[in-house]
Amino acid sequence: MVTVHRTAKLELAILVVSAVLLASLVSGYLIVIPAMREMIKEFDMAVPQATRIALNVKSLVIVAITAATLMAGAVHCLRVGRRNPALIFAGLSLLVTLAASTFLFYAVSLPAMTSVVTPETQTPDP
Amino acid sequence: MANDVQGITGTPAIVGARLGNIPTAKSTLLPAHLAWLDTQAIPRVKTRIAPWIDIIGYASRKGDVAFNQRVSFQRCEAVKNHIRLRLGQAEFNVENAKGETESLGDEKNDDGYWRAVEVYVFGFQPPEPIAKPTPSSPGSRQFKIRIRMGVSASPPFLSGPQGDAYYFEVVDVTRRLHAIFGYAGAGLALPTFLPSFLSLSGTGPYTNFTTSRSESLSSFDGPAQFFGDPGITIGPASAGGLVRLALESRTLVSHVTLLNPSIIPISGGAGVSVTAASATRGVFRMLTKAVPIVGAP
Repeated sequence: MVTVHRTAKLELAILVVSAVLLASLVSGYLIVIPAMREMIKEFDMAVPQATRIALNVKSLVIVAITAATLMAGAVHCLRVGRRNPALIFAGLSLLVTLAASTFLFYAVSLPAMTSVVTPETQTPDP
Repeated sequence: MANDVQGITGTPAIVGARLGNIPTAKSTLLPAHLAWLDTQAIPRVKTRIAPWIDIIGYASRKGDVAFNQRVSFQRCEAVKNHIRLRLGQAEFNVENAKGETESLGDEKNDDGYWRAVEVYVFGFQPPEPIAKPTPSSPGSRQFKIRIRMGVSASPPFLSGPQGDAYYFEVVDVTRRLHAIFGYAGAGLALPTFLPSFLSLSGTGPYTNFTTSRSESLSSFDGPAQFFGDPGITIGPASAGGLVRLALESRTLVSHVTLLNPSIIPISGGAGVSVTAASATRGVFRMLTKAVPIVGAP
């Protein structure tokens, strides 16, 4: 019988990537979303539903809590030496943060891809 | 001997002439008479406002007074008929058949000078066309641009593909109008050491640029290229990381309008990004109406 011993490097790497992704996601909300909200309000822009969902702070809170819980679970499992559950938790946290980041990018880019041109001739003179 | 056509000047008429040498006892106009009517009188009638024509007929003293009266009238009618034939309709103010009442000489005088019709054309000169004001330029040559917010995404572990979604505020400095433009594009990026997936930028400072011709804000709508310089930004601290925008809209190309600088370097605002280098191609779209700037831009 052959026993395969593997280190926790993979789990740790996934956890680090997840943490970086979560950090960029949170900073995205803190930096980009307020700027986008201000822009939408100032120019009275119409935004798609997906963008509205992404701009909602509740979305961030849900994603952040879920990802942080999964990461905490992975860390705990690593501490007690249960590597397989740790890998699953770390993988799930990576998936959650990656999916949330992808959705954020999609939602932010959606107005730029779908809006129609407004000819300047329709605008009033200043 | 009298001339077939003798110009008359010194009258208020635009043009006038005495058409003489009409055959004795007839009202047939000579080719020279018709030529003068066609080339001198009728064109002026056409080009004047409310034109009118005065015709005075004459006859030599030879012959019966009543006959001479009639023949001078027929000579007037011959001129009228020719003009009507050419113009369709014309205003004849005076048609005076004077017969031999003003003719000189004895009873047998048949001088061609008296076998004549005088034709005078009157009318008003059309006013000079009112010069239209030169249309004001529909645009401006002075613009400035800044990032309002932007996100770049490059999948971790997969070096290469990158997507950019940036929002810019473009200001027409001359007309004090501004509008939001969105850029969405895809391309390639060099891999970075930090697998951050998202690079984010908040509102940055303005960058001025000019155009070689007057353009409106909507002229910038169209294809564009977007380049990211190497750099790192964490919060408000930033080193490098300029973005460069090359606008290639159809309007600019068709107007042969050049931008200065041709590739606009734009600083980002506070954010989080680690960029090695990137280049994407996409569309720069005008997302909002151009609205007046309230207060200082």
